[in-house]
Amino acid sequence: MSSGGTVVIADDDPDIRALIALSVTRAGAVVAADVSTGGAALDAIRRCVPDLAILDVSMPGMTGLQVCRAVRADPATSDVRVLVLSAAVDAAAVAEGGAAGADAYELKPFSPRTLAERVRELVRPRPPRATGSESATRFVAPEE
Amino acid sequence: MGSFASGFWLPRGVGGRLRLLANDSDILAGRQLGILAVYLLAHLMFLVPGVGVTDGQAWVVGLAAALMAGATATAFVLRLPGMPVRAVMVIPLLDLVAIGFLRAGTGGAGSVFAALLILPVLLLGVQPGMLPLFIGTPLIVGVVFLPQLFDPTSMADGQWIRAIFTPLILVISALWIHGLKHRLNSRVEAVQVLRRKQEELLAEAQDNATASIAASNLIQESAHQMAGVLDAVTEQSIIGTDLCGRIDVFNTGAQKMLGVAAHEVVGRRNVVDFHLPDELSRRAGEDPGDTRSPLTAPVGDGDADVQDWTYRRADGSTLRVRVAITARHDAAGDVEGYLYVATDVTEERRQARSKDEFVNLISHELRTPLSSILGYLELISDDDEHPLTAEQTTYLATIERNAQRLLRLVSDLLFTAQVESGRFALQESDVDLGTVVSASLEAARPVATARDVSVVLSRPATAPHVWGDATRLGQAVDNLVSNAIKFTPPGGRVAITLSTTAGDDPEREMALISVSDTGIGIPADEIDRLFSRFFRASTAVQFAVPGVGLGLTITQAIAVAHHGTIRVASTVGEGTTFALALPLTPVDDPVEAPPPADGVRAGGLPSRG
Repeated sequence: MSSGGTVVIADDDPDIRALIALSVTRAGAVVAADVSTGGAALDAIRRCVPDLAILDVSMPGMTGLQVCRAVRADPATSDVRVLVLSAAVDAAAVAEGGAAGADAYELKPFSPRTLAERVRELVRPRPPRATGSESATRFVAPEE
Repeated sequence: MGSFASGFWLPRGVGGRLRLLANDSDILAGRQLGILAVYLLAHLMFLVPGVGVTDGQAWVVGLAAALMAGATATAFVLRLPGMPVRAVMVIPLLDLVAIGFLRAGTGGAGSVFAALLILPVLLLGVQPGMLPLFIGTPLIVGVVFLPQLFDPTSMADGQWIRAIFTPLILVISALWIHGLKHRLNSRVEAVQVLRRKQEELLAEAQDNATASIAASNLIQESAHQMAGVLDAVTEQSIIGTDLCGRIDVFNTGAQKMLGVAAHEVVGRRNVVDFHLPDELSRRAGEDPGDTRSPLTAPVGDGDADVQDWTYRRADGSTLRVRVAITARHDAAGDVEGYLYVATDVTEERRQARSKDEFVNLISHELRTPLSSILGYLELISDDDEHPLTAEQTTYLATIERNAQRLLRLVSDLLFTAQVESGRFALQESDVDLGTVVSASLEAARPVATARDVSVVLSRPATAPHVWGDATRLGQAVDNLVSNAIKFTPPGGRVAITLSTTAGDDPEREMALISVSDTGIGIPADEIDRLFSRFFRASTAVQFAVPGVGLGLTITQAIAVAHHGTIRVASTVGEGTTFALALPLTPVDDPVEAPPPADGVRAGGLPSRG
């Protein structure tokens, strides 16, 4: 069931990082990089240009949302899909993720099973971007 | 009579005796002395050649003198205290008789002393009442005819005519005098009445003046006290204005907060000078139909309007303040101005911010390890290659249940902190309440079944829709349903009813979700505190029902953020009903912050602004 996609993981907690990596592997994708800060995440994304970046919001240095905005702003990486993972629970934070250009948002604590499914969806060969609504929690791409 | 007339002009006090003047024994004695003097002068006239006593009638003159002496003596006796007042009329009568005898003894009708008769007649006229005149009139006639007794020829040669006219003239004179005196007395009485009135008015005016001085002192004192109180408030700015905003009160706190002296402001500046024009025009723009000042427009008749504003200090710097604006009323109850009591909220906001940051940090730090625990638990459970024993599965289920419980607690604490800070986010959309209550029912069913509590749902075929945050509304209903199950003993029943009802505003229908249980109930005196943070009903503690006392706080906050209400009715031992009412139509949002993003708005308790 390998979809062969590449994924960059960024989270400051090593246990969570390992859990995400397991989910990614179970989804049949490959962990291209596994970093603990926002800055390192941005470097890794620029270097690898993965299919998907899973970014924690609260990280030392740049936050996941800042990384997401930077990825979207850079033409070289703007096609990289971004899944934001956050411990924040309120709707404002979710909306903020959408505004930053994230493709999906998962709340901590997350189910590794659900995350694996989400990874599978996100690393699938890309249909034309405009269709946009593959799952209920996907954001409509911000108008640019 | 001179003393009588001059009585009008006597000083106050003496005037009080005026009415009694005609009866006054002292004055009568004085008059009697006058008559006596004239009488004695008549006796002196006997020395004049040709004037003398008629021969053989010296005894008559002697009798006259004796009567005069008697009258004079009577006048003085009647001065003594306790003598009857009416008796004074005896004196003129005696005088009359005495002078009658003198006339008779000195030539009868032709006596040179006949004119003396006028004096007692006048004295008779001034006597009070008509009785002296009734007695005096026949006496006058008798006195005039007295010489006839001693000389029967005295009426010859037409002298009898004199005997007719003399008494007539004398009696008429007495009557006129009496009438004059009567009128004079009436006027004196009228003057007395006026004088008494004048005295009363004067006394009243003096009382009023005294009262007005006292009131003025009191006003001065209370104004002084008020100024003292206002100036003792050094940490809050108190500004008083008229209806146009012109400042007339500027306390010490205002001087300190705004960096300008009161004398530079009072009567010279307007309250808007201390506000940011942008902020005023922005708030005014919120309701373009309202032309009133945005500061005072929301002020109710008796209620203060409390809002956060930005004050501009004299040095140009700004300060975030919470201003309570109230109307000032004049004595008639009309609004004559406004009072602005402002508190610096900079520190309060800083503390709230650091508290929010702290809560967010703690929440993050607690959720991260919980994420690991729950995530790895799932991995172990899902590991098909190494299946768990039944016992291990039970243990893991316990771990997971407790981790989930911890997670809920963390979420509730975080949410409560957001409510406390006045705002939490709502992701709004059209919400089908039928879906919400059904989801809550399904979520609660396993717990209810385990506790042997039946849960029934009653809902209309077409469920009401509301505009709101589906997740938060679900959380509110979940809280009510899980509470109901928790507080209901095994065998009990929980009923969830979804309906619509007319709200407080008859034009606005409300969606109503009521959750009734047959549980342990809540004592009536605890109902008011039920929605306070961490409050737990005594029955909950008594029956060891688990919980921390946040669920209802959160539920109420969600209801209020959706412009709804939550009500409770409970009887200990019988059960409790919570009714959550939500407006069916979207309502205007009073929260000033613009939505942070599409479809999301800040929610919060309106009372916290």
